[in-house]
Amino acid sequence: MEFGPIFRSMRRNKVRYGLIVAEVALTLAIVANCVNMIRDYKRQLAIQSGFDDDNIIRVTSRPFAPAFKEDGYLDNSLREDLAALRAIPGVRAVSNTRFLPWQGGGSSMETRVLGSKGEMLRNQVYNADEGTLAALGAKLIEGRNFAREETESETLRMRQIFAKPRPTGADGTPLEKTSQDIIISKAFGQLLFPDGKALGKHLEDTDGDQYTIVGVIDRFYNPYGWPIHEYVMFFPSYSRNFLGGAGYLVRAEPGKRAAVQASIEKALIKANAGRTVQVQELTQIKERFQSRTSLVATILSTLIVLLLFITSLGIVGLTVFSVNERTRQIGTRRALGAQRADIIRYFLLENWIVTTLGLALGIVLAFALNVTLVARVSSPKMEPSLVAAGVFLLWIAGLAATFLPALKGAKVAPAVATRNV
Amino acid sequence: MLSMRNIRKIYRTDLIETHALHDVSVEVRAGEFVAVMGRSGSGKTTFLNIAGLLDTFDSGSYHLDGQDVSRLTDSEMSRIRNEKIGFIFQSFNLIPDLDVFDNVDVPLRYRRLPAKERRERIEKAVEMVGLLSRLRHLPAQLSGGQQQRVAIARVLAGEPRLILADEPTGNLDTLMSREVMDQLEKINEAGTTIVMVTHTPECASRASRQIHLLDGEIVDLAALPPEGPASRTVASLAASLR
Amino acid sequence: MILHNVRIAWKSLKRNRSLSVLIVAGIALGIAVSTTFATVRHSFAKDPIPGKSRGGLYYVRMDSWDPARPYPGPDATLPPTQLTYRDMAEIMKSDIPKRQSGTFKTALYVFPEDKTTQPFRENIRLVYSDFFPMFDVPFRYGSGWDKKGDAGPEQVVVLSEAMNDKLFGGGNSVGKTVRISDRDFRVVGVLAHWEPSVKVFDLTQFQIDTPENIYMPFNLLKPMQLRTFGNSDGWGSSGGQTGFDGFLQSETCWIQMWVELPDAASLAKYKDFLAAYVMEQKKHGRFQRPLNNRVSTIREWMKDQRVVPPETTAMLIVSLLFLAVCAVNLVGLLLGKFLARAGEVGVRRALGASRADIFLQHVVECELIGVVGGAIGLLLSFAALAALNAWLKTTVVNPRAAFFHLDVPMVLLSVGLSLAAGLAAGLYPAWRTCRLSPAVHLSLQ
Repeated sequence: MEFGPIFRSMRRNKVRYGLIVAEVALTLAIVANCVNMIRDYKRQLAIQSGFDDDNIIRVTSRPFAPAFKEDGYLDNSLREDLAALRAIPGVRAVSNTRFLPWQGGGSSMETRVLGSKGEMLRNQVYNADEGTLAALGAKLIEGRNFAREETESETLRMRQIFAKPRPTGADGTPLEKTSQDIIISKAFGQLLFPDGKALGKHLEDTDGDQYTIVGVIDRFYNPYGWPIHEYVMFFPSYSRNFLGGAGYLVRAEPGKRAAVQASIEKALIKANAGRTVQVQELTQIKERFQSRTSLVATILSTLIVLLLFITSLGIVGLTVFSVNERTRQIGTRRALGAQRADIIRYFLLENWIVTTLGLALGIVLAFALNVTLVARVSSPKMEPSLVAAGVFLLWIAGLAATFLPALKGAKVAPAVATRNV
Repeated sequence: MLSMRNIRKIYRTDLIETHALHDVSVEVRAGEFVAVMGRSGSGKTTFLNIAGLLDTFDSGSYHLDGQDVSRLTDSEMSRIRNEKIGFIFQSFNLIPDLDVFDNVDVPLRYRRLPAKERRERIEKAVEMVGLLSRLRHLPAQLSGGQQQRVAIARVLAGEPRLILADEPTGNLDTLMSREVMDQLEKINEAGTTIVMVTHTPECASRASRQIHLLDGEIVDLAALPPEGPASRTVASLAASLR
Repeated sequence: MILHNVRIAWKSLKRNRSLSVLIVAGIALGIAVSTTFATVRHSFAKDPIPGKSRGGLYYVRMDSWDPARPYPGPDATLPPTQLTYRDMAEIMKSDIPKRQSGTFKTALYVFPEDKTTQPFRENIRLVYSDFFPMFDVPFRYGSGWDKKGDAGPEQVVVLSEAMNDKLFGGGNSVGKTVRISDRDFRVVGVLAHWEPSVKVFDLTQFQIDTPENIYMPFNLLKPMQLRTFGNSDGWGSSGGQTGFDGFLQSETCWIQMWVELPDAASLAKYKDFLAAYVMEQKKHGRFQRPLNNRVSTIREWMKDQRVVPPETTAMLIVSLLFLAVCAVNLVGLLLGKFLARAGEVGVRRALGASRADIFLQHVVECELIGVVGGAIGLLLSFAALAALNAWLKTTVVNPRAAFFHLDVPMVLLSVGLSLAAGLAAGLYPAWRTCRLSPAVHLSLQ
C-alpha cells in the first residue's frame, strides 16, 4: 500500500532512521546474548543435589581443650555428640561425615574396576556412618546401607592399619591390600560398568587397596573443581580432622529445621565443653555457592530491562520528532481526507519497516557477538529460537513505542494545513 | 550602500524550478529609508534574505558598502552580517531564554568585543529604546512592542551601516506600530540606511522611497519618490522586462 | 567564549526539563553501567602489588604429576598449581634467587591472655623470613624474623593490624607473648594495614579473601605437625607411607613457592637449575611427565588461575554495548532537540554567528550533557559498587572491606567515557545544526 512513499521519505532522512536501525540492531544483539547467558545460568541453578537440602543442617565442632587430642576421648565425645543430636526433638537423622553438599569442593581419589588394568577414574570420596544416607535424604536403590557396628569396627581397623608405614613390594605399593565395603552413586556405577550392574563388583585404588560395592544410591550431585560432580564413593568410618574437629549433618523433620537448629549448640556444649560449635543450614551454604551465578543472572536481567527501556525511549523520541516535523504534512493529509487510523497506520508502518531493518542487522550482530562471547568467556552457543523470540519482542516494543506519538500525530487538526505561520 | 545587479534566484526541487527572483536590480544609497512592497509570494523574503547575506543567489552581482559580496565564504558572510547589517524581524526573534541584556549581547559576543565595551553599548542601546528598567526581564515578560524595541536595541548596539527590517510591525497593534516606526525614523535620521519589507501602505509611507516587487520582478510604479532632495533618492530602479 | 557557551547550554537544558532529564538520565545510566562493570573487572584484574608485578617476583611450578594423565583442570598443558613438600625443600637449597619462600595456610586455636575470651580458630600462614620483603609487606611495629628464626625454627609470629587490635587492643605489641595451640609465641612484628587487591601470594583458592592475620616460620611445620587448610592434590600410590611423615614424603602437591630473581640472567639461571633438578629426579623414577616447569610472573600466574571471572568480562562487554546504545539514543534525542531550535539558530546566524560559533555552542552543550550525565552515572556506580560489596560480605567467608572500589584510573575512565559519549553523540547533531541555512528558519516561524 504505502510502502513506496514511505521508502522514498526514509531515503531522505537516512541518518534519523539509521539511528533507530543501529539502536534496534544493537539491542537485539545484546538482549539475545544476555538471555542466552541467563538461560545457561538458570540451568546451573536448577540442578538438584539429590538431597533434602531444605531440611539439612551442618554442624561443626571445633575443640580447643587439650583433652580432644586423645583418640579415646574423641571417640567417646563423637558417640555422645551423635546421641545428643539424635535426642533433639524434631531430628529425623544424624550423621558424622566430612561430606558437605554445595561447598564447591571436597575430596577425591582414583579407582578402577579390580583387575581391569584400565584407566584410573577420579571420583569423590567421603566417609559415612549408618545415618549418612538418611541425613542426606539420599535414596538407596540397590544393596544395603552401613550398620553402626560396622562403622565403629571399620574405623578402628583402618586406624590400626594406617598407624605405621605399610611395607611395600617391588611395585612400590603396600604388600598387604586392605578391603572395604563401599556405597556408590548410580552415575559412578554406570561410568565403571556401562551395563549398569555395579552391585557386588570390586574396585581398586592406586595402592591396590580393594573396595566392594555393597550399595548404590539414586542421585548424587556435588559441584567439584574437576568434572566429577556425580561420581562418589562412601566408605564406612567416623571422621575428624587433625585438630580433633568433627562435622555432622542433621536432618530435621519438615518444618522443624529452625527449632532444631536453635537447640543444637546448647545440646553439644552440654555433652562436651571445651570447644566452639558452628551451626549452619544447608540452604545458606547452597545460596552462597550459587550466589555469584544468581547475581550475574539478576544483573543481566536488569540490564535487559533497562536496555529495552532506553531503546523504546529512543524510538518514542524519534517518532515524536518525526511527528512534530510533519505536523503540516499530517494536516494536509487530513485535509485531503485521511482518517486518523490512516495517520496512525502510516507511522506504525514506517516504524515497522525501520525496526525490521534493524532486526535484520541485529540477527547478524547477535551471532557475531555470540562468537566473541563463546571465544572469550566460554558462554554457551546461541540458540536460534532465542534470536527469534528477541525479534518478536522488539517488534512488539517498537510498535508500542510508536503508538503514543502516532496517536498524537493523528490528533493534528486538518486546519493546520492552511495556517500560514 | 546596496547595489544589486541582475540578481536571479531559483529554488530547485527534484522536478520543478521556481524562479523566486529574476533579474532584480536595486540601488540604495547611504542614508536612504527604502520600503520594499509586494504581495506574499512576490519574492520579498527572498530579496531580504539575499540582501542580508542569509541566502545565496544564482546569478548577478551584489555590492554592499562598496564591497563585492557575491562570492564570499560562509564565515566572511557571517562577519559582514555581524558588523554591517542589523536585522529586525516581524516576530522579533528574541532568544526566549536570554534576558534583555543577554539578547542585545548576542551579536556583540560574536564580534568578540571586550566585556566593558559590550556593557556600555548594551546599556546605551537599551536606554535609547527606553527599556533600561527592564534589562533583566525575559522576552516572555515583555509586551510585543517592547520585544520589538529590544530587537531594535540589539540592532543599535551593533551600530550597523544597514538595517534590514522584515514586516517590523506585522505582529503589533496600531499604537505600537507607530512607536516602532518612530524609532526607525529616528535611527534613519541619524544616518543609518534602512531597507524595510512591508505590505502595509502606512508603514511604507514613512519611507523615503518605495520599491514594488511583483512575481520576483521590480515594478517601477513611481519614477521618483514623492518628496526629498534628489541626492538622497536617486532612482536607479532598473526594471527589466524581458 | 567557552564559558559563555556553557551558560547558554545550561539555559538550553533548563528550558525543556523533561527532555533534558531523559537525555541526561540516558547517558547517566550508560556511564553508571559501564563504570560499574569496568570497575568490577578491574578490581580482579589490576596489579595486586603495584610495582612488584612488573618483574622480579615469580611463582614456581613443576610437573610432578601422574605419568598416566595430566593434572586435571581447565588447561591440560599446565602443571599442578602447587609443589610437593619434598620438592620445595630441595629447590629452597638453591642460592640463585635473591629471596625465596614456600608458603601454605593452616588453622590453629589462639588462646587470648584474657581468660574470659573464648579461644578461637584462626587461619595462619607459614612463610620464610624472605616473604615479607618479597611482597613489600608493610610493618607498623617491629619486623619479620631473620634467617635464624627460619632455621630454629623460633617460636615467633607476625600479627596483622586487626589481630593486634583483637589480642592486645592495638599499640606496640612487639615482645609480647601469644599462645597458639599448645605453645607460646613471641610477637616480633605487627603489620600496618595490608590488603593487596587479590590475595596475590596464594591464588590457589579464595582469591579475594583477606590475608591471614598471623604469620609464623615455615619450619614449625614438622615440630607442630601442621596440616594444610588449603588445597592438596594427590595422585598415585601412597608408597606405604602413612601419617604425617607419609604426607610429607608423598607426591601430594600443597605448597606454594615464590622466588625473587632480580634480572634476566638470574631468571635464566634459575630455570636451568629447575630443569636440572627435574632431570635428576627423573633418574630416580619421579617426574615421569614431560619437562614442564613454570617460573611465572604474577600476571601470568593470575591468568593461569583465571583470577578474573569470565562473567565479569562478559558483563563488561555487555555494558560497553549498553553505553553504545545510550549514545545512539542520545544522537537521536539531540538531533530532535537541536533541530527544533532551528529558529534560534537562524537568529544567531543572522546576527553574525559563524558556522563554527554555532557548532562550538552545540558541541559544548553535548559535552555539558556528557559531564552532568557522567557525574550522576559516577554516583550511581558508586552506589552499585557499595551494593556489590555488601553482597560480597554475605557470600565470601573473609572478604575485604571494599573489594570493589572506584580508584583513580576508574574515575578517569568514567570521565573519559562521559566526554567521549557526549562528543560521539553530539558531533553529528551539532554539525547538522550549524549547516542549517539561516534564511529558511527565520521567515517561516
